[in-house]
Parts: sequence; structure tokens; C-alpha cells
Amino acid sequence: MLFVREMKKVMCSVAYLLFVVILVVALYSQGVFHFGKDVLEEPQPGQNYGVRNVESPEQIMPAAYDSLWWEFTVNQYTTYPIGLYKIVHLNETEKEQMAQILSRLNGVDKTKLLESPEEMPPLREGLTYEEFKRCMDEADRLLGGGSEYAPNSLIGFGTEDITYEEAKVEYQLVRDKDKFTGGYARLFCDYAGAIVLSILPVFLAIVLCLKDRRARMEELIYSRRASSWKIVWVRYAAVLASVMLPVILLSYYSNMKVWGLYKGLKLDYLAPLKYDFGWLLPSVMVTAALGMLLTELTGTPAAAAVQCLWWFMDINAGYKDVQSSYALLRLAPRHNAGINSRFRITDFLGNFNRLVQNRLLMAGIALALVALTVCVYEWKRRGIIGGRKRIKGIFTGIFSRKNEHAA
Amino acid sequence: MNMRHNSILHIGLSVLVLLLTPVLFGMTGLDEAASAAPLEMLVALIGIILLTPVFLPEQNPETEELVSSKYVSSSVIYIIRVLYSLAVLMLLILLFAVYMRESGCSISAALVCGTIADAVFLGGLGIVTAALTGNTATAYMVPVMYYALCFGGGKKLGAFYLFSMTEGDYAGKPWMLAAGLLMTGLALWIKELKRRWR
Repeated sequence: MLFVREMKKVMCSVAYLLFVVILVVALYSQGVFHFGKDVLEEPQPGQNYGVRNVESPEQIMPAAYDSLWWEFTVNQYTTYPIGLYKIVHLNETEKEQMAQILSRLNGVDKTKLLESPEEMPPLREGLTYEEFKRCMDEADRLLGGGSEYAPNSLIGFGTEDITYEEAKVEYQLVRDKDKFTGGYARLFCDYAGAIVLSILPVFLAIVLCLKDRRARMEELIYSRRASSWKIVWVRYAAVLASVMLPVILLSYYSNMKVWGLYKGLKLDYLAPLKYDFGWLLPSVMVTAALGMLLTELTGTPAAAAVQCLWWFMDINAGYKDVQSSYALLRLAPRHNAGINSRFRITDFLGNFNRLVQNRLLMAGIALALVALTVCVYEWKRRGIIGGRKRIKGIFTGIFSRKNEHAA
Repeated sequence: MNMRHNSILHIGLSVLVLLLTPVLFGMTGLDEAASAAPLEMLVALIGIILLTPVFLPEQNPETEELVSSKYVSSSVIYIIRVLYSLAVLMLLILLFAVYMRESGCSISAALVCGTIADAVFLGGLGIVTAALTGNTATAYMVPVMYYALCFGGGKKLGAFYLFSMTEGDYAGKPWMLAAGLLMTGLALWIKELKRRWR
């Protein structure tokens, strides 16, 4: 009964209406409702199957060295330390250190490199790949990390054509493991998670938690017999159910578009549901939980700012390499791959365990945050903490001269 | 007085965003396109922080009744708040641009004006939603989502694409500024209409 009432409160709010509209518009803009023409054909010999990164020292060593040398000559290095584009300029001492690293790569004295950096000397004869990687690692650390010379990123300098046999294996994996629909469900989750569901649920949680305050019902609810545990968990469940309902409907609407493309082949009709709960729900859980905790704690929409910051950092962490897309602390894992890359199924399967770890961690954090919200709610009920009055008072007190007199 | 009571937290948060920007982005020796990135991606967000909560104090029905009973019309108060919010917004962006310039970044007047246009546009989206819904928390959703949409293939938004200056395109910025100011004016008008109908 309480659950239905709370769900009604969420679903009848303007915020929820906006949430649904934004969800539809955002997903429509990403083309997930137009999968109807994206049919994955079985690879045929003689086609172009795309390229992939490969750890090929023959390609990586000259290309990475060439890039580092060019950046050294202009003393302007591009890095992405937390995903965001950052230009690094080295000071004189650091420039010397970089010259020392380059000197180990090309065998030329560092003072000569610093004096005449116009001509790029070739790489030293007999330089091993391991030694090269060590030098590049040092260069990356000198730049503050996040450069393309980091050990994990060096692979970006090596590419290789995908062969017919490999493309065929990938196709078979999509057919047998994904049963086709899984790939489309994954793409839906990539967009829905990154653009909408790792940020908007926080607003619904805020609106729901602030509703009592606006209606001046806080004290009345505090005096009721329902336990804090029950009130908070039911509210949380109501937010999750309200968010997931349109998500499930839209994921099926998106996925159903491809059901007719694979006539006679075995499809997984539960794929959207599996991905909605396995991939998207943990993001929704942690976003809503953070919203509830901070709103109960501060009595303000401060959670929106915190969540926006987290989302901003997360989306800018991007997907520089496959592994970072499934990093343990990713709010919204990324896997932006469609039919042209055969849904990059080998990457997905190779990182599946990491994805599971990430999703379990996010769900765990969410549950811990809700448990903490219960405590905060209980403290407020007992009058131990006063929510907004106290926290806002800290700030207004700083600027209020009246308080000085009162003191 | 109004500023101290109603906007100090939001101004503080805006300053925090500006302080955070050099931590997240490099701030030395950027060319104009690279300078546009922190300005468009983070600094412009202060528009949401400063303009969206203009009607927040009156969201409480008791406060709204009290304010309505006063001799000075609530519209005048809203206009004052909008004006000082815009002034603070411009001042903070200008100060940040000066800081970037001192750090050796290439900052042009067009870049500063473009950032102000972005901020006013985002703030305009927020304030008009706040006027329509009467709920500030809900109002934050629209500009935040617009911002998010610009990450996911925002070029489809044409002249209203937020991050166009990073690609050297300034053509849409006058439109964004005009739209932002129009939405702010519209929000004030909606509030006035709502007051009269009450």
C-alpha cells in the first residue's frame, strides 16, 4: 500500500513526466528506435571486416616514438588524465628528463636533443620492445599520466585488419551467444546508461524526498508508526520501479524492431530484460541512492550537483581503451558497438567478468547508501540532526552579522 | 540583501566549479580551440547554477504569500535577482577568462562572449522550466539533459550545439544568447501571469 502511494507520488510528478519525455527524446536522438534496417549479415570472403588494435612492436615503436618526438619539439603534450583533454607543457627540468628518456630511445646525447630538436634521429639499433615500453611508461608518468604513451594505451599505435576467419568467428558468437538480440540490447544500454540513467534518477529521488518538506508533511510523517527502514526502502523501491518501467518498455520497443530481421534464426527474446536489470539497474540504483541520501541529509537539491560532477567525470573517462569502458568504478559502462563491428562481441565476452564486478560493486554501494539514508532519516525523526536548517545555517551564519550579536 | 539571503550558496557553488576547472583541465598555453573546451564544458555550467534557482525562495507557498503581500511586486524582485545573477555570471566568466589569459591561453572576446551565451542559454532553459513547473529541482533536469545530449551527438542541435567553439564555430552563439535571454524574459512573464491568476 505504501509502495503504491509512493510510486503514485513519483509517477504523478512533473519531474517524472519530464524524465519520460527526456528519456524518449535522448534515445530517439541516438537512433536506438531505428534498428530495423541494421541487419547483421554473415561475413563473406573478400569483404572489408574492419581493423582492430594489436600489440605489434614493429608498428607501435616507430609510431609512438614519432608522436613523442613531435610533442617534445613543440613542448606540448596531449593527455587525458581523468578522461578530459589536457595540454601539458614541461618546465626546463622536466624537459631535460624527457630528453633523457628520448636519448635512451635513439642513443643521441640529451644535450644535443635539447639544442637541435628539428631533426628526428631514428630509434636506436637493438632497442627491445620491453625497454621501449619502460621508457614510454616513464614519459607518461612525467606527463602526469593519461597520455597515449601509457603502457595500456600504446596498443592504440598498432592496427591490423580483421581477417575473414576472425570475422566469421565473431558472427558465430553473435549468433550463438548473443542470439542476435543481445547485441542490440547492449547498444541500447550503452546509450541509455551513459546519457540518461546515470544522471536523471537523482532528480526523481530529490523531488520525492523534498515533497514532504514542500507539503509541510515532514513532522506528520515522522510521528507515524511506520519505521524509518520501511519508509526509506519503500521510497527507494518506488523510484527504481518508476524509472525501470519505461526503460523496460522502451528497450523492448527498440529490440522488437530487429526480431523480423532474423527469420528462422534463434533469438533471445529476454535479452532486453536481462540487460535492463544486469546493466542498467545498478546505475539507476546508485544514482537514486545518492540522491536520496544527500537530499535527506541536506534538505537541498545538492545531490544534483554531486551526481552531475560524478556523471561528468564518468562520461569523460570515455572509452579510450576497451578496458576503461568496464573499469571497476564506472558509473555507466560503455560498449558502443553496432553491426559494423559485429557488436565487438569478443571485447564484451573478454571483459564480461569485469562488467559483473563493476555492476555488483555499484549495486552494493547503492544498498549501503540507502542503509545510510535510513540512519539519517531516523536521526532526523529523533531530532538528532535538523537537516537543512543546520547545514544552511553554517553558510548563512558566515554572512549574517546578526549572529555575531547573538553570540 | 536579496543576494546574501538567496544566492550566496549558488554563487559559492559557481566559484567552486570555476576552482575545479583548472584541476580537471590543463590551463597553460592552450590555443583558442583548446581554451574553448574548459569554458564550454565546465565554466558555462554556472548558468544553470545561477539562473535556475531565481524563483527558489518563493517555492515555499508561505514565503510566496508573504512576498505577494508586500508593497514591492514580486516581479520586481525576480527582475532584480535575474539581473544580479546575470551580472555575477558575466563577472565570473570574465575573471576566469583573465585567469586563463594570464596562464598563457589564447582567449578572444568572441570566446568569452560565446561562453556567456552558453551559460545564459543553459540558465534560460532552467529558469523557464522553473517558472512552468514551479519546482526548482525539476527545473535543473532540462538544462542538465540538454548538456548531456550535446555529448551524445549534439551536432544535430545545429546552431544550439553547446560545444561548437571547440571546433572553431562561433556562428550559433548569438542565437544561443538571444534564446537564453528570451527564455529568461519568458520565465518572468510566466511568473507574472501566474501571480495575476492566483
